[in-house]
Amino acid sequence: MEDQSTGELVRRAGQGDAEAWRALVGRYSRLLCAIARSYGLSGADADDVMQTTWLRLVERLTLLRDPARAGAWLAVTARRESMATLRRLGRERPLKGTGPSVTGPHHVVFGRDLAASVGAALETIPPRCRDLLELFAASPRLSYAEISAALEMPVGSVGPTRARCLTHLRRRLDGHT
Amino acid sequence: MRAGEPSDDELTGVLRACLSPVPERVLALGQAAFVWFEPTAALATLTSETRAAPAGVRGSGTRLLTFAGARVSVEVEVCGQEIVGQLVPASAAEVILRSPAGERGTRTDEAGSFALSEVPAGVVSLLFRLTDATSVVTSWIRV
Repeated sequence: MEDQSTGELVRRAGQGDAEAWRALVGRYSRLLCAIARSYGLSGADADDVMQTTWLRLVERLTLLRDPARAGAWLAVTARRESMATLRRLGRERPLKGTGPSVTGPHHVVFGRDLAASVGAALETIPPRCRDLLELFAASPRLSYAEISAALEMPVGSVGPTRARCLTHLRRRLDGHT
Repeated sequence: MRAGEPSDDELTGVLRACLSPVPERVLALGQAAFVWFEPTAALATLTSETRAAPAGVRGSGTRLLTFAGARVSVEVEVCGQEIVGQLVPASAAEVILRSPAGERGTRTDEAGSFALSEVPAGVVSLLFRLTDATSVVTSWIRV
């Protein structure tokens, strides 16, 4: 199930296949978490965003114009739901690229030196870089189109931004190791 | 990148190992959504939402929502924990209030109107089973 294409999983879930649905949830939950977090949402507010986003996919499983692009569709929907949640809370989106992580440490620090240094360095680079690098590290892999939809970034900028963010991270590692 | 520094792929591999797993609670949230799959019902999507608030009062008042479907539309008013509404064109139907807190049913009257009270806070959707054996479901809203 893990190696099936997103389009195939959507099609099978649309026929009532619960296993295919589980696989979709496994594939895209990290993406939805990262989007809610990028809007400064955590805890119950982030859960609301994810719950509503999944419910919207369920209601449209058989109606999606392009099932293969369901990941990008989820990303756009999660962004819209994040904005709706902020409006309901009477809050603004926090400014991008400023401030420390709003959710505290969300990385398991490993005993291995490099892993520990990377975990620490991640906390010191701009949040948008951190989000992007995390999405690149997600398993199974997310496509450029999905990452672009999640971060409101043109597809053509995803690669160069990733390179810039890795340079950021390397520079911080130099400072730590 | 200088000699001896980790490559892009190595760094990404380390990042992958650093990521904490997605919490079980978050996965459960997504998995639970599938129980609301209603493939035979026609979807009526939210096309307009207005707020009829008394002047000078913030955050209160009635929300007027229209869900447009292919054959049947649904108009509802949400006021606090109460929902009243009607099907357009007027049709007799069984009305089911769907929410993660459970399901509850009522029926429309002859004019196609219905009322639901003590609607649980959170996401809700309405499912209508019409007398011609078709059904209509509204997209999810938050009350």
